[in-house]
Amino acid sequence: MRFHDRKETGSLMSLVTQDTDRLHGFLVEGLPYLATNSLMLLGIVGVLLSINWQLTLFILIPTPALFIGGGLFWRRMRRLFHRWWQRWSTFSAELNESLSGIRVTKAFAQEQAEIEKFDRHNEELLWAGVVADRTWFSFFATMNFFTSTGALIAWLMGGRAIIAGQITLGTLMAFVNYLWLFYGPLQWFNQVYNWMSRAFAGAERIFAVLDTEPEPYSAPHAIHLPRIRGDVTFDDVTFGYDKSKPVLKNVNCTVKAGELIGLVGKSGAGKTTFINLVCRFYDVDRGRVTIDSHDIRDIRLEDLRNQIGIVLQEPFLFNGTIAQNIHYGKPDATFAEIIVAARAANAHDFIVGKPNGYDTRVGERGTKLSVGEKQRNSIARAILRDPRMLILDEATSSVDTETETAIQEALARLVKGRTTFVIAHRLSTLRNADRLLVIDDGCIAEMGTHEELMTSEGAYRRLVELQVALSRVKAVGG
Amino acid sequence: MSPQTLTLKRDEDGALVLSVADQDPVSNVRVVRAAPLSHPSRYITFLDEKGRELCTVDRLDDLSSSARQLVEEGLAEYYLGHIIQRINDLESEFGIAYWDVETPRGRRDFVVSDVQSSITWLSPTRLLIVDVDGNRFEIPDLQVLDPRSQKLVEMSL
Repeated sequence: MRFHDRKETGSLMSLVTQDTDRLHGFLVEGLPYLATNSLMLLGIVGVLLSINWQLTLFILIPTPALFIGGGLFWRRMRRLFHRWWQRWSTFSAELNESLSGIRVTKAFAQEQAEIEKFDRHNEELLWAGVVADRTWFSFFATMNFFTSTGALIAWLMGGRAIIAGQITLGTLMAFVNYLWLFYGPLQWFNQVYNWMSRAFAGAERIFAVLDTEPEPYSAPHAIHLPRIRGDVTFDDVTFGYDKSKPVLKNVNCTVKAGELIGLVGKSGAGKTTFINLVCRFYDVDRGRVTIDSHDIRDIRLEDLRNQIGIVLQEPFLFNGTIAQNIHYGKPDATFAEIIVAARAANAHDFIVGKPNGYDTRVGERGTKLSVGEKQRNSIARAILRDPRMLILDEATSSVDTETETAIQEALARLVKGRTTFVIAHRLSTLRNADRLLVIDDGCIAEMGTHEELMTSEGAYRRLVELQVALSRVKAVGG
Repeated sequence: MSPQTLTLKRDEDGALVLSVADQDPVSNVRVVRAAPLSHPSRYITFLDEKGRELCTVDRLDDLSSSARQLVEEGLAEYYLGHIIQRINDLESEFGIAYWDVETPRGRRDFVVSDVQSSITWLSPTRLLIVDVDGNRFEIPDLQVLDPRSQKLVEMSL
């Protein structure tokens, strides 16, 4: 996750589509041409030497300059192409963000600002390309000039040799014709620097990604745990996305299998970070998280993730059918199992009510479904997975009351017998939690049932009283 | 629920009435396919007039012959579609496609937006099109159409 936190989506897409395409082009077309042109060069030089070795040595005089110039030029071109790629990467990332946030742009009437931002990045990209291409064409023209001087030398020295009676006119004509066959591949070598510069710059970036150590990862000694009970322990855990700024500090708690734990606290307290560590999206900086007494880092990552179901506030659906999205939870599930899961999620009725039922395409990120429909689809996906642990992160905060009731019913079925962590800002939704963990500034301030925490005058009671007071506030504009 | 305990009949208004075992009959029942494209003859769902599921039958064959006939009639009504015999014209602009076609019921023109979700290839030559009003049009076999119609489809899709 740290890798994806650092990298922009557009930048990664550019790397996957453009850079691989360039490298592919060079390997598939460039290398064979390199081989054939090299052989051609050697062959033609052999023929020229056999016609007249002195003349051949004269026309080869500019050749070392080509290769030395090319070598020096290569380094500069790689820097320029690298800069061009960075501009392109930024451009792609900005475009991806603009298109993703188009609703916000239109809601705030910021179309002109977005156009200006696009123009700015476009301009920067254009100039990076112009500088790279201008430098390249200067090199290309210069190198062509040098190769052409070889032809002049051939005519000059050849003419003198004819006058001196050393060679015939016919020999010189044959020599000159072979010379143009020599210059063809040589000029191609001038161009190949451009090709290689772009391909190698792309290869650098590709291998930088491929060589990145995945974090977290399954250690070689990681144990295979196909079925967990769901006992979770945080043992003196400290963690920060930036190691110098811990978000969770010395957290200690124990959760028994099957418990429903409510995570409560102000925004930024560390609730989502707590969940991220349970799912092992990040590794702790100090301490350890255990599941069934095993350090989470010693469990095969695939086994762990296969047994955790997540329902987020903003459910994400892939661009496919409803059935395909539910199926994502368990790829080998039958269609009958998909229907059972959808029924349990209170989703079956709205699905079969659509003209194409389960074959309805949901659109990119599920845009063709309402938030409530997406949420129930997401719950069905989690139910189908039959996980031992559940994470519910504000699962009902974005829907209307009627839909929330349907979702709450579905969630009640889902959490039975599973270790569940629920984050909810509306504390009334956590009344049935077995225990509540109140997180304040990265530490567990309080722990207990709703009744226990209400009798102690701590952070939880203050939050509840505040919410009750706010619920009495008049409607917006009143 | 055993499909054989399911009884279906029409009332005097022609609406479907469903009875399951000894439960009270439910009228104004609608019959739909849970997955009309991927599983057209399976997972037949019976809905009440509020769109709530009453029951689902795995296979049409599991029903009695009289119930099956009524179900098939109900499905034909719900999934009423047009078979395209010829395409007179097909124009696209800004992602919207304007179709002018000949069907057994006469000439029809319709509009399709969002090709990706409105047009489904059921096989390499069988096409299902849903227009902006939810009407269905089908090309059972693209290769049977005249060459001009085929070309229009290939250029647009």
